[in-house]
Amino acid sequence: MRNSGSVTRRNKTVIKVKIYSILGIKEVIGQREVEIELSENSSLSDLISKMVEKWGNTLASRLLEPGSNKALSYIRLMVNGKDIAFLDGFETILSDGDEVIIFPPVSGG
Amino acid sequence: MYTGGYTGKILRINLTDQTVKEEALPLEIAKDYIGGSGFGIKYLFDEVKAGVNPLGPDNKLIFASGPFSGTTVPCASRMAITSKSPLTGAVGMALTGGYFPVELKFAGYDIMIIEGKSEKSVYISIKDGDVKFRSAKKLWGMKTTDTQQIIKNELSDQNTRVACIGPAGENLSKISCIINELRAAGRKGLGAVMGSKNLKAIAVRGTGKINIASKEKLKSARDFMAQQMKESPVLYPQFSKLGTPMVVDAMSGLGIFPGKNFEETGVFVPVEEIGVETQVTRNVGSEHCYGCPVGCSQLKLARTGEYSGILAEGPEYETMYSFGGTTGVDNIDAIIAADRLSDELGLDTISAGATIGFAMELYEKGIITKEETEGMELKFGNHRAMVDLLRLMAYREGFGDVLADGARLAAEKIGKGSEKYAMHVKGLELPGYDVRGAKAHGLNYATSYTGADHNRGYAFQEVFGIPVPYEVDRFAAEGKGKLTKWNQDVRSATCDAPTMCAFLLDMAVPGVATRNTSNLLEAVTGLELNPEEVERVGERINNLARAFNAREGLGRKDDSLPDRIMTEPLKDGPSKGNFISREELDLMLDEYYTARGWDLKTGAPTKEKLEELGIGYAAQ
Repeated sequence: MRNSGSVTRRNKTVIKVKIYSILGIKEVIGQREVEIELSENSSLSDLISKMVEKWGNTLASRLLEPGSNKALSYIRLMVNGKDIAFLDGFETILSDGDEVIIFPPVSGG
Repeated sequence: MYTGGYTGKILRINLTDQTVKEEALPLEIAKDYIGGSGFGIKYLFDEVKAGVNPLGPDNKLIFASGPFSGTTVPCASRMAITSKSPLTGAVGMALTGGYFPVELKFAGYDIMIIEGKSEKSVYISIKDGDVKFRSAKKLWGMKTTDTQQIIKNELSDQNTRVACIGPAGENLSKISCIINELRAAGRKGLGAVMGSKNLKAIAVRGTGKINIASKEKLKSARDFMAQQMKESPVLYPQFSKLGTPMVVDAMSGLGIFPGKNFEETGVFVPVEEIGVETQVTRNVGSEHCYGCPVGCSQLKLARTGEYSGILAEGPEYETMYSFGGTTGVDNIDAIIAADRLSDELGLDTISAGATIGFAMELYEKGIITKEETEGMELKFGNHRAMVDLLRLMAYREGFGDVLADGARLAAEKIGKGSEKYAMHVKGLELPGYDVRGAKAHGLNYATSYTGADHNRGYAFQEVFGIPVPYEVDRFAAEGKGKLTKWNQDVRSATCDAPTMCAFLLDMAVPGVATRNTSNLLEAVTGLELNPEEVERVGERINNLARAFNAREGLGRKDDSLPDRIMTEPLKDGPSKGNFISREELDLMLDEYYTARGWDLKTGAPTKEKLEELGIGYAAQ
């Protein structure tokens, strides 16, 4: 975890998390690494909602099951390098400076 | 009696006395080993006695394709080449694709065994059952593309397929490979085995057809497989367009793309310079193996500087690592050029790049100087030195001779504590994953019967997050023994033995791989093996290979990892802080041997286990 320094705005603490994405997800986001602000105690689920708000249906179609806010089964999500199945899944609480990695399906080494 | 898939014939060629024999392939062997690596390891164990010099006349080269090669089953034009490896002293098995494997089947053979040693340099031409020994005098010293073309011209048959060695194999480099088209049976020094026999090439042309046991069942089996392929979220949407090099981006994202001889993994991350977005700017087309609807192989054209205009089929991901990450080179065109040059010289790109990366670290640390390198500035990132070294290695000139046999032997020659920087297992250089952040993958490196070989038990659960047979935490050591056994057995049974493209396992059929193989086997060959029995074939192959290695004196003491992996935590990136401690490796090995039913102390297969698998004769 890297601490990028949380800030307090109107009595509400804001944290910054870094998103790292590749291939089809990165194509939509536009950059391999972006930083996004969330309110303190936000979960991974909150982050995904915020991302869909920001990048719209194109991102939603590559990330979520149609008509839901559930990620497609083959999308790999990690927080600080750890797969979320070994954290609290989508309820994993994010901290300031966390890095969230989002991979579309990739294979072939 | 064979009803389909197999030709039922073995071609045995003795180079010493230039004799040729056709033998029957016993049906029991087909049922117990399926084909490919299974056949190779079976005949290697039975015919190459303990202690044989890998570069002597008593070693053999066994070419074997699978029962689906040459049929309408997609993605099956592959072939295993098996020998005792001069690099590791263990089983040396490597697979190649393209067109040579089916041509050998069309010529009438499931297996071709090359033995002895020719007095003079020769090549072999096979046209159906007609085998001839021809002088290779004028071919000796020639690069691989020229060799293939000259032979085609000489035989007046442009449809002949040729497997050959380059100068590296002729000069007995222990990291040399066998090339057909621009494809390689790359690892474990098989090119040197061929070179030691004075055998430059094998040309093969066949006009036969492969029978099918049940066309109706084949249609249904193919439909099942095609459906899995269609439903894959990655096979056609991404992989067919981008191929393996897209993995650079993913491994960089995980923090396990090896940087600078694994010293700077997570720190040196050249994803912008050599990742997929740069790669596609060099793509000029793609190539398909025989009968493959995917066509993952990307043709890349170098476009800048002194490399401009050089074309490569690839570089595949592993080569992006070996000539990119581990050498600190971030010049995409230099990597393309190094890839093509290695193919032409007949060098394994993984071992060659990893050995150069090792030498670069020694240079940077002052363990070797310009005196040893004969004036070469061997710093990380020096792409010109890297490309120059390939030629020197293949021809054993200057400092190239020191590196020509891989990192382990180079460290022995150099001394001065350099062994701790040599990244290998059993002599085979590490592939493109820093396993400090993928521990089952690391356990596979430690235990694979060929040394540090990603392809013998690829932990796609950790590397790609594929949750089959279950999800795993890539940083955990616990539970990886049983998983590694599964990865190795299923890989052997569904890819290496039937010689099916391994990418199918990862991308299309991970959850139904043994069922898919079972379906195809019954349809094509008439052999009825249920999915459990298919997996059992994989277990049998891994046990027989292990018994071969045990007979050569290899065991638990050799199932290890480089010092750096076990003592230095990753410095940065999403896998920062991780390493595989000695204790963790021991824990994983205990779990693995227990899952395998092997002796915990020696790591040797027990008599009981071998008997259970019907290979009790392999017990020591």
